[in-house]
Amino acid sequence: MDANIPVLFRSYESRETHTNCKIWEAARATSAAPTFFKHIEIGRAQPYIDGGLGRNNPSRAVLDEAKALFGARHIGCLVSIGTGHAETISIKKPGGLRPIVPTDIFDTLKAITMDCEAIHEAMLGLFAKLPTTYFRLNVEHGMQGIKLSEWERLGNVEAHTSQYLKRKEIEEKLALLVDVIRDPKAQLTIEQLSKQNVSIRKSDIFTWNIVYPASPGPLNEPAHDQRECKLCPPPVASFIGRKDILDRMCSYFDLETQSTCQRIFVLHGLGGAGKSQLAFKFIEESKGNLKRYTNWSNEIPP
Amino acid sequence: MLGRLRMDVDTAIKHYSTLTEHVFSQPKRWKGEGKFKATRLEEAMKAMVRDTTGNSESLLLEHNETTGCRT
Repeated sequence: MDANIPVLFRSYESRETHTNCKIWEAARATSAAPTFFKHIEIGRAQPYIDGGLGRNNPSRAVLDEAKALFGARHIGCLVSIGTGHAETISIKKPGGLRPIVPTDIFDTLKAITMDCEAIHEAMLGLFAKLPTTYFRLNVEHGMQGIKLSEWERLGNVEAHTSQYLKRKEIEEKLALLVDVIRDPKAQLTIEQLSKQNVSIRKSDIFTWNIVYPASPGPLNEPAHDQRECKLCPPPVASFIGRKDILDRMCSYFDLETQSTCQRIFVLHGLGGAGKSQLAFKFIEESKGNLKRYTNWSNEIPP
Repeated sequence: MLGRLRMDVDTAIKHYSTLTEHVFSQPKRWKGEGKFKATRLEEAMKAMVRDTTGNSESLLLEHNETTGCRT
């Protein structure tokens, strides 16, 4: 089963509707969390497992679906609700008297966490120029000790959630969200939004974000470029290879044509994988063409 | 639950509590694929669909539905 290709169960008609699926079957398929329940077969004996593996944050799938359904309409808002902050998902390492958790489950859970946050980061990038459109709500503290199967601790979940909702910045965010739902701003259509082309694929591992200005800066300001470029260190002398990714970055930023729009290329991956070095290398190699490069940021430390 | 079954939030939480208790209060004695019995999960889901729509085998797809939430 390839978790990269999600199957959508829909309650409405579309080009690829799953016609004879029952409500309980769809519910059962989306709860087939590996290690909790066995998989389910629907229709022509196709096995389904829960999207948690690789699809825990379906924001991108929702956008794709919305584009197919209402591409020409304006986007009102996208609300994403998480089940607890990524950093708080913790599992004790095997050892001592604790039950042994196989390493592959560790790795899987870690991967889910990273996947969720990577999609969130990509969404922030996609909506960067469209304020008050993307909202993510995610209880940040307290959920880490609560397992999916701990039904008797629903009260704790409720308590942590009310705590979260009482925070001033969350109250403000919610008030803003209510305003947007009541009175959508109609800034861009979904098709226009998706043309912004933020690269996010599971195989590209990154948290790197190179920001271009929306318009070229004032001319005759060489000092500006120099100052900013100084901030960016060169790659290590032993940097080697990665030509495929560097080539993709080059063609993505379209350096030859000197386009003026802001583009974001996200590099995400495990600590130590070489994201920062890759970005340093790219900047070093493209200095000649990178006239309008103004700042670089490493939003999540590698 | 909120979309296709059109529950309000309080009803959804009530059903969720009943469902999780039914499913997770009895772990499987012989652990095969998964720690909990999928049959108990299916029972609980069918009961919930029956309580809401009147038929536990209701289809997910709603023809010519224009007012509801697309789920």
